[in-house]
Amino acid sequence: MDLGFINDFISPDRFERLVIALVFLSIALPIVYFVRGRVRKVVTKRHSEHYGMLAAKILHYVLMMIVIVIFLTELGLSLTPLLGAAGVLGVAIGFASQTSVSNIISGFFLIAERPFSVGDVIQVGQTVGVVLSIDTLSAKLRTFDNRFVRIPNETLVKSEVINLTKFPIRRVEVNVSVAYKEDLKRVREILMDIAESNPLALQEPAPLINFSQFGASSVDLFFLVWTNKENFIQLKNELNEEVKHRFDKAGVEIPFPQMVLHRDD
Amino acid sequence: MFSDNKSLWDAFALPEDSPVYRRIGPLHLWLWRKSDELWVTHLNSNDEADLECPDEDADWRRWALRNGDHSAKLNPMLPNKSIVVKPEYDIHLLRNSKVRTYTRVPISVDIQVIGETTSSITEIPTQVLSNTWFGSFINGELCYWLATSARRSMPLDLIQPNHAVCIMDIRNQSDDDLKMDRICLRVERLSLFMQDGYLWADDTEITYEGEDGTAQIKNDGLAPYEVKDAVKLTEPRQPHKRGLAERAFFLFRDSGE
Repeated sequence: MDLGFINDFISPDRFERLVIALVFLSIALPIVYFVRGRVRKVVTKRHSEHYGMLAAKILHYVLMMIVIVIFLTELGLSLTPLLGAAGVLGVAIGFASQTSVSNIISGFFLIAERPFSVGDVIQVGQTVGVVLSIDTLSAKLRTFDNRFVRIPNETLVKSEVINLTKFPIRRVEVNVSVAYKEDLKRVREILMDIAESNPLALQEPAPLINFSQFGASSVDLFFLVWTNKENFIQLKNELNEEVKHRFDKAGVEIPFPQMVLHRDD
Repeated sequence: MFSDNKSLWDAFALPEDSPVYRRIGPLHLWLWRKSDELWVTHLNSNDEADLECPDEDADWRRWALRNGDHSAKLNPMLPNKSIVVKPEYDIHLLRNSKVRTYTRVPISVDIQVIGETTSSITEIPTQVLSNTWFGSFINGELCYWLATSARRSMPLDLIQPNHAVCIMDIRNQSDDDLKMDRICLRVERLSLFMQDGYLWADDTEITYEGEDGTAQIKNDGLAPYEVKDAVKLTEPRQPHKRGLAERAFFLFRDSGE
């Protein structure tokens, strides 16, 4: 088999360029990854994980672009035809991948508007989870039962997103129903005492007890207590349990739906 | 009674055969060295009587000791967060007037083991304080909540072993009267001093100039003039910052509804 054409193609000059380009790549790539890691660590420490991830990504793409351009130049390839081809190809790909482009542009909106950051707990539709990353095409969440959810950026821009941890404090709402015969003043005293004696409940903003409605079988109240966002679930559980316990102890009836039937003889 | 309080903060040996018991106000504390481990448990109870033995179902925590860690020391600490002080009755401060108030703050106890070096192992509050929010719904800080009578003098018989007396000199230099219904006391910047078994913190000087709740706050790090000869026991958790302008008065206008 005649392999002369290979010898012609890999001339000593080209071989030398290839070696230089590969050596450059083997040095440049670890440096890019090292710099990306350092920048992420420093920016995360000084600002937040969100900005750390963002800075690392931007830096990574810019450096990789520079590395690729230098690598190709070292190989002796002219970039002009490549860029021309990329332009034509870009139009073709653009038509074929409108959704992806939409996701990329939506990603920029998400970064600029910053409705949530990495580490926040958000709710999108029925999905609630911790934001793991906001990437070029999608945001990744970890739900509380440890499922991985990928939500396209376009969906996040179009739909209602509730950020559950944006603000430092949250209000726990407990629906309390008591029988019509109960003294509401006494019920109010018990509920306020429950809030005041729980160390997770904030004293300010003060707990509130609001009248909800005269229900079919009960007088319905809202018991509203503030806490810092980290303690929300724990306080909600504790308040519900404590209300039941204290009502039982004080003989306050929590009614269940009931119907009075009159027999007409 | 209070001569005993001096020795509360002295170093003590950790025998292996039985737990060491200490009571600081409502905090009952037991430390037990078992071979090369230190076991610690505590109980917060207003029971006046000493409790020589912990409950059988007490929740012990264990630390592995280094060779030679055979003694320990309790160190009084002010709470690890600022305290929002709520006077029993609102105090109104007229323009260009000044008031000196005394507040008893429940301390925490820092447990240190002593060997070749001294190491803190844990901190236990002598009284569990409620939390509160100081700021707006969007920004602010988590603080402890303390209702107080904000006395104008502090009779010594009111000071319990788990109390440190914090003094605030509040001056109103604004053009309006100042209603003080809640005051943020930055205890993390205060040192602790002891005289005759009583714990005192250095003065906090608060000067209100009418800037929407913010005030100039100064701590000099020296014992208050009431106890000039007091010995410094504890350095502040955060270093002193001279002439710091911070929010000191409560401005929570939104009801949250």
